[in-house]
Amino acid sequence: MRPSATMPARPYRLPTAGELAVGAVWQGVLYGLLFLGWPYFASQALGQFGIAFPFPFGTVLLFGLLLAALAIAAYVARPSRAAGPVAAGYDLAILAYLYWLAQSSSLALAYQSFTIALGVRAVFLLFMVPPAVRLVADLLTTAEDAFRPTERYPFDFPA
Amino acid sequence: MRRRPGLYRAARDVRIAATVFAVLIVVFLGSVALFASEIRPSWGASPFSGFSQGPNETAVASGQIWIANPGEYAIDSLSISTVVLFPGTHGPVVALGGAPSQRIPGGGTTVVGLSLTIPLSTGVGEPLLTENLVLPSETWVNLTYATLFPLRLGLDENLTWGAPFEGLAVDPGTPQSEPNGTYEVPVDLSFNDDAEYSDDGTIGVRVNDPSGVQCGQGVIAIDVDSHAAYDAQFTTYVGSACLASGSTVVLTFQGGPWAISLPPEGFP
Repeated sequence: MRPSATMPARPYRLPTAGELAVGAVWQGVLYGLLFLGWPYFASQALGQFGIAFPFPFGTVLLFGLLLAALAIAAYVARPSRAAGPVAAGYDLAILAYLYWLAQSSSLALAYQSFTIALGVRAVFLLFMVPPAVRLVADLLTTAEDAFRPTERYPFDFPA
Repeated sequence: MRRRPGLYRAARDVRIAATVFAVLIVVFLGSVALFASEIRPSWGASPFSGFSQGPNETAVASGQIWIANPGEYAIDSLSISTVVLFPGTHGPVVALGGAPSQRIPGGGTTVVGLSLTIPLSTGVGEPLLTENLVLPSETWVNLTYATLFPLRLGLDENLTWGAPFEGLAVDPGTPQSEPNGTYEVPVDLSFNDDAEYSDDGTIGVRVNDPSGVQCGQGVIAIDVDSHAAYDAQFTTYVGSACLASGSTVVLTFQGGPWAISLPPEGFP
């Protein structure tokens, strides 16, 4: 009996550990820039106009490290049943981060006898919508992986 | 081609929706920034015109600000508040003013009317009748742009106040006794009208003895242009009680909408 005649070829090919590692590095660069780079560049840009960065810089960096790590974890977990829960954890962390930013988000500028205070809370609240919606998708993926493991692999990782 | 499973499709569609939301939010915020940069407030030499005499013994300044909002989003709850303080650290409030809350729709220009009222007849406003002062003022502008973005502007500036009876001085001369028992007193009255309106009316003169009982009176007509000096002598007849130390002379200006008492002076 020829095994190849009775065992159909798998319709997907999961990434190897090496491929995941390379992808994780790229993810780290991308999300490092997003979550760690923006506070730096934002504080520099605001400082040019004499506007103080309105958030505790250390806490922003800690959040940034956590979010970058979770983003990498979500990427690495994609070819496993942990994909949904890890992605959900990542989106929940983003929601917590944006909510925290929204609590103290007033940009203030004082120049001689003139002061301006702009409330940007709505910006962060608006940006909470996409991760909140994505959280639903994460739960769907979690359910799919729980009840029909590997069902999505042929589409996410085609052979 | 194999059909994608239902849960997979649902998850994918939700992720696409999330991405579309994110793009829409970025586009919205970009348009807010763009349209907000096109808002232009303008006014004449100053948002406020000069002060004029107002009802109920007040000095009133009014003004207008034109706000052009050519963008698509409205300016909501635009309100302007001004507080004028007496000189000194956290001096008492002399005046309140500003503009009531209003809405400026997108794509239009709105004229915002301003007013500032300084009561002169009572309390801290009284010295403003006879003293030129530099009054610290604080102005706040509050608004909400595009429904979501509150903005607060603050401006501290000094307001130069010109008193309508600056340096008011009443200088009684030597009394001359009259056959009827009264005394004729020549009185020199001087002041500068440093306000932006003329002092046109009458000044009632009432002399009180040390116990506050009226013992002499008179009326003089004045017409002093803005930024002009007044120095004139008039004669008043008073009873002997008015010559006692501690007597006072109270001047009351009546002109336009005002009937206002000036700070009392010593007499003689």
